[in-house]
Amino acid sequence: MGGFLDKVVSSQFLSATLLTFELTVLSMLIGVAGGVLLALAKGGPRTLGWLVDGYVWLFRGTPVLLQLIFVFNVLPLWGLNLSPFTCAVVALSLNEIAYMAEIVRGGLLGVDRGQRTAAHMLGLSEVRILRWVVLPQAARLVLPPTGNQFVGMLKTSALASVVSVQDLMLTAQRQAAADFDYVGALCAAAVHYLVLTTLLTFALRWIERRLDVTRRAAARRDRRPPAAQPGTAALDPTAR
Amino acid sequence: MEPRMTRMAAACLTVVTAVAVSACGGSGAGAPAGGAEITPPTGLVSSGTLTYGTAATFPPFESKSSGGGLEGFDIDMIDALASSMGLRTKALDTDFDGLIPALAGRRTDIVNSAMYITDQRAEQVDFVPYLVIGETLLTPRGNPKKISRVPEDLAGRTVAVTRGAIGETYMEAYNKELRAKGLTTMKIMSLPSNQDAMLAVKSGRADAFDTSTPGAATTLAESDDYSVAATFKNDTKIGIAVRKGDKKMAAALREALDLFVRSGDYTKLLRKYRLPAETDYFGAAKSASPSAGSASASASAGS
Repeated sequence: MGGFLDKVVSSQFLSATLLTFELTVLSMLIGVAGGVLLALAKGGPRTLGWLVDGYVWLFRGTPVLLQLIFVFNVLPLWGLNLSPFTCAVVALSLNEIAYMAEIVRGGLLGVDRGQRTAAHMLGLSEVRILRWVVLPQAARLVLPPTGNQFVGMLKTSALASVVSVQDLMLTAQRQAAADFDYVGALCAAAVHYLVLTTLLTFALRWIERRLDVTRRAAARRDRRPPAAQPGTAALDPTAR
Repeated sequence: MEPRMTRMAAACLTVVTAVAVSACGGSGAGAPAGGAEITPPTGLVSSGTLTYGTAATFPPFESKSSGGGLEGFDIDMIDALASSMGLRTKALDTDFDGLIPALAGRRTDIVNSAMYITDQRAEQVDFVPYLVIGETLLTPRGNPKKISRVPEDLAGRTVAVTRGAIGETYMEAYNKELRAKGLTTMKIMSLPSNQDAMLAVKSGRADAFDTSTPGAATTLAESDDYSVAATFKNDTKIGIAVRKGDKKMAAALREALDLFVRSGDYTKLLRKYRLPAETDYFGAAKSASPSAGSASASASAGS
């Protein structure tokens, strides 16, 4: 038991946790950015749409582990020698882009057509419509599944241990191989993963609340000087 | 809803059972029972079969054959030892660092994977030694980084090792030495298998990789891409690992090995895999010290 607690706070596990976090956040940022671009491209010219379909088909249809080992072992034969960490970021984000493209596409489809039409009538340009009308509404729809992907990525990043990235998983395995305390090492890694996923879940919930327009409006109402008794707020004509 | 779920569960169960049964039936490449010269140990994971764990990425000891099976010194040896006990053999091919947990978790009866005998491992398992070998560092051909002195020349270099294998332990110990001398430490690249470590050198990710001396000889015989940079730890013993306190298994293996050596098949096998005379554990034991004849795992070796 002492071995387990020592491991949880050991510098190896802490720096490994940081690395796992970096790997996750970096892959996820690229994944979201790429996913948005691909989802928008899908709405463009038809050939572009086909290319996007092909991309999603390829990267969603093969295991991430295969993609990772491919990037790590095959690209050097083609003269592209990336560091193990970069390999992991490349493979994880290429895969993530495929999933995010589909999620963002779903979000864009979820924005009512009437919103675009109304914005057109107001004389907004296409870019402005996207920026101020479609994307903010799509973002709310996209956020919960993206959060899901984020938590998933945190765990998928453990695959990077296969290409010698010193993440939480590899650190646990190396520690266990050195002193054979499998219970302690794996449990220590599990604790760190749980801490990360818990923090992430809280952060996502906070963002979700911030993006919730109805809540924001309610908060604004609350900040006004009390015009009447709380119970009659809904009847107060100045409240809207 | 309810009955459909039950039916689905039943269907799943049928499939699982069918797969399990066929998996059991299809395995067992070793010789059939009958004509046993040595009483086989009881309480085997699967009766009538010696189930062994191996990481088949370590030629010439164990590797995958082109036919899809396994081949190597250890594979031939264990087939011979098991057949003298009237047992079949069945291999569990896994990553090297998963071998001892698989043994402890009773997934296998023994570990037969050219495992080096070290203090730390000897605390977890009991060993029946059968070979003596050393370690070699292989670099790209021509040794471009001029690595020869271990560990001084490794300062600041990247060395690929097999995860959980002895090379990893050695390199970590060398890093401590380097740090003590005020030199830059090396970067240890832990990869799942010996082949991955080799590939890391070929692709230029690592400056050298650590493997066994016979393994290095095999690699050099098959490829022109590598050079030997250094050999070290030349008196490491290799053993078959059995569960801690599994005296019956250890005794049966020792007896079978004794028979194997006396019949001359051990020497033949060494020759078959071009292992040098220095690797002969039993010959060395006879001439060096009579006490070593007991062949109990000497925990002092290795580290």
